[in-house]
Amino acid sequence: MSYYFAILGTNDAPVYELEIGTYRQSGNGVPHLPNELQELEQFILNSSLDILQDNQFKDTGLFSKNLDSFYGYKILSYLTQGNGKFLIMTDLKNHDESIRQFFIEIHELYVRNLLNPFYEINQPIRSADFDTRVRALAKRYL
Amino acid sequence: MATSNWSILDTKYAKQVNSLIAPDFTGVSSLIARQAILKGYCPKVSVHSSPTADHVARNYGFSNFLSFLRFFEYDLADSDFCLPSDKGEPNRIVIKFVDSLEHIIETQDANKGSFQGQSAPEKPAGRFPELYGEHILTNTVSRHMDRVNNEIEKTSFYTNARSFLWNAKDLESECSEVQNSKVQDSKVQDSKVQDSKVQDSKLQDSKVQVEQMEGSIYLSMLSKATSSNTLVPFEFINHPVVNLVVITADITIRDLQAVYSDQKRKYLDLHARFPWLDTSCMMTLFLILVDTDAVEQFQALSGLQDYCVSVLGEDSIGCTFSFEKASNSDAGLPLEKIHADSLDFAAAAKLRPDSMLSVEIAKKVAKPIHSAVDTIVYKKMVPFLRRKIQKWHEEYVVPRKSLTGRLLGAGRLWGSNSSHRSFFSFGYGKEKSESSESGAGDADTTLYNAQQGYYPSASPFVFLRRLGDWYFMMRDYKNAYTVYEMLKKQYLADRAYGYLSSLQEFMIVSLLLGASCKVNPLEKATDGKRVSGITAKIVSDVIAPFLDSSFYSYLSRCSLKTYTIRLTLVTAELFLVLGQSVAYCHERLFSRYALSSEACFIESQKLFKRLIDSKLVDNVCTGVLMQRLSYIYYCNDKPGVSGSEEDNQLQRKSYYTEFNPEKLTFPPTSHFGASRSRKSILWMLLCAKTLDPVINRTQVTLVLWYIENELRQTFHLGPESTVAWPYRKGSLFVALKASLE
Repeated sequence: MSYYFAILGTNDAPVYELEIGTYRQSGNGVPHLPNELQELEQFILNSSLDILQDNQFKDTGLFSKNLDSFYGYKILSYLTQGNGKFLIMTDLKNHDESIRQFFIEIHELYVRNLLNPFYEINQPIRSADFDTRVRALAKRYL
Repeated sequence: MATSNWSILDTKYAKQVNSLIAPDFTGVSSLIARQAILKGYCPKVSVHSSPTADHVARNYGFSNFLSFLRFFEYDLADSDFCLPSDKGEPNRIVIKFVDSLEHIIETQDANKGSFQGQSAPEKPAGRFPELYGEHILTNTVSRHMDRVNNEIEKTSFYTNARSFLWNAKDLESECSEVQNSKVQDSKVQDSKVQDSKVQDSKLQDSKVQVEQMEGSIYLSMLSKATSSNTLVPFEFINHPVVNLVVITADITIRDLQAVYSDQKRKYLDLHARFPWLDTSCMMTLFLILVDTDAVEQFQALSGLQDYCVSVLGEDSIGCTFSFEKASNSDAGLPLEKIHADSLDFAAAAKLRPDSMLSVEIAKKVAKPIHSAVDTIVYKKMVPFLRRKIQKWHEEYVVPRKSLTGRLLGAGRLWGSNSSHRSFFSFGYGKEKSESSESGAGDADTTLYNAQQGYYPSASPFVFLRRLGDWYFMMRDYKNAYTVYEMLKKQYLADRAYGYLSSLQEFMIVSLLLGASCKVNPLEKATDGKRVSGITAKIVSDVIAPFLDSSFYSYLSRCSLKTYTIRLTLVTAELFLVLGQSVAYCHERLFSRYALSSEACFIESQKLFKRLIDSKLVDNVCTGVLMQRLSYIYYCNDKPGVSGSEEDNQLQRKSYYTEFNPEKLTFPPTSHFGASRSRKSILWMLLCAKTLDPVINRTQVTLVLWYIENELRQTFHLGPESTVAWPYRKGSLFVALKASLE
């Protein structure tokens, strides 16, 4: 039961990525994604952007709980107003609401990060503080 | 390399299609693939040649006369545009020459071990033979791929693709130079421009060749999956409709009589062994070869033809040409190149001892044979099929469909002793009484034999199935579907699962082929009647349940793996055909309830994924299927829509682009989000992994080149680009690239 989370910039390239296991069902937060999936995860999320782009001007909601799927792993997305994308790939079922909450909290973190005068848009987020906060949110919601 | 080596890809129809839908590296247009499907389901003509006729073929370098004739199938395929005429019937039709019936049965018996379904022997339904041997599909595709790889490695495109992949030379910029050569004209000297133009055009030609060869790999798989000579009781697509007896005019009347009676005797033996095999429905036709160098044979011809008609009661045609090849070539006569179907390389290699796929023979020899083949098809076979279809339609369909027939059938049903019959099998009582009256014996001659798993050849349900299949072969899909529908309940009541699966498969194919044949993207849009097409309701109520049921029945009840592959592959491809036809035709041609091109593509994708996940095919075929899946994603936004004026105005007036270009650019809404190029990249990557860089180095190199090229186009990658995620260590893309170095 694992998650692969990525924040994509406006150019669709990842600026932040995290692989994390669930803390529910007596999980310890260690990811257990199979090797076959690990070597493909960026390409899988990249391919789901096709669907996201298709829905972008059709759906009014920011959160999509059934964006795409790939061999039992479902992809959920959150599209910010500035065209940033948060994507999660997971094999966990029925956790859509908690993932939505997670995205909302991440959105706030992301906006704060954008307000940082030393951060340039679409550049990788290397802030240790940001990473710690994301992990804390993951522990709380995922 | 001459592209003519790839038969279906080089027909006039294919050229027309390619001019409209350019082939891509991921695959060729589905309209060409439809030709391969139609060829698989074409009428079969069994060839029985006398030793003297085989000797004539050997003079021309062929192993027997069947091999000689098979080289003339190409001409039929070349003229078949699969378009219906005004009457709704095809203008041209393609046929396939096959071995004689007894030889097919012998081969089937010899290969029983590999042909037989793998279910438990006590299950009668599991005794049906497979379409082809266990590893035949893989071997065919692998051999074709090896041949394609050898050809590709010789091309300049491949050399450039390899160097591009390892950044030695930028092929993308080279290709863009071709398109932007006008811009470059002002920058470089004239002589250099000329040189680079020549090189670029060569590179482009080479690229087109490689694309076509890549497409032929999938076509070879599709051809193999659909074409087979295996005879099974539950479908008549592979049963020959014409028995062509080839003799030379120097044969005596007594020998002719002997040949004929010998064949009849063999057929009786076959019928005794296989009660489901009905040879009486075949048309026997004599092809009498006359040597132009022997004048006395001209006189013999008319005598033989008279004997055939008056005594044997069979039709005959004459074919006059020189039996000696040497005399033609010495005379320096104009030659004609004839081709074999190279997509089925294994079969084509058997045609000639030297495995040549195209040969040159004198035009004055080729012409009479072309003419004889045309006569066989259009003057003999097609009228024969039409006569039989009409007869059976009146005998078996009309009584079931008319109100009087239904009422009488129901009355007879209640009056008869057969209490176990379904109420809905109207007309059943009539057939039973007919068979009893004719002295055909007891009910066993018409009833389903559950022990052996077949209906005897005298059964009306066999005639109906044959009628449906013949309608299908004549491309009258509407009537074929109607006939198939009449049989469904009976097969279900008898629990004849092999029959039922095949029936449902052909019902699906009839629906899809019928719908796709009504729309032709090659013709200009006219304001005619709207085409209803396939609706979402038909898909959910008919196609999807039939597909699920047949898939399960073929695989679990009958253990017929190759039939399951054929069912899924053909249905998936036909959805793609429909989707591409809809995409390239004007929307006013379709009813508003018809399935959109995108919905067709989604159905097709689902089925390709299903076939891949079912593990019915090995890695090489799975790789080819993944490449096809990638092509479907590639087709999603084709043909491209140019940005409308409204879009352009919005783009110009956008507040965001004016004041904050980094934040948001207003996309062209008319085609924004239509592309599935990123999905296409993902499946190509999976294809590269499945094909294995160690085993299929050339293919994997090309696939990786495609991915690299697409990534660069999507992300505008360049030296100053900061996007690095595809090139990370641990990524599959990088690992595959490393394994090629």
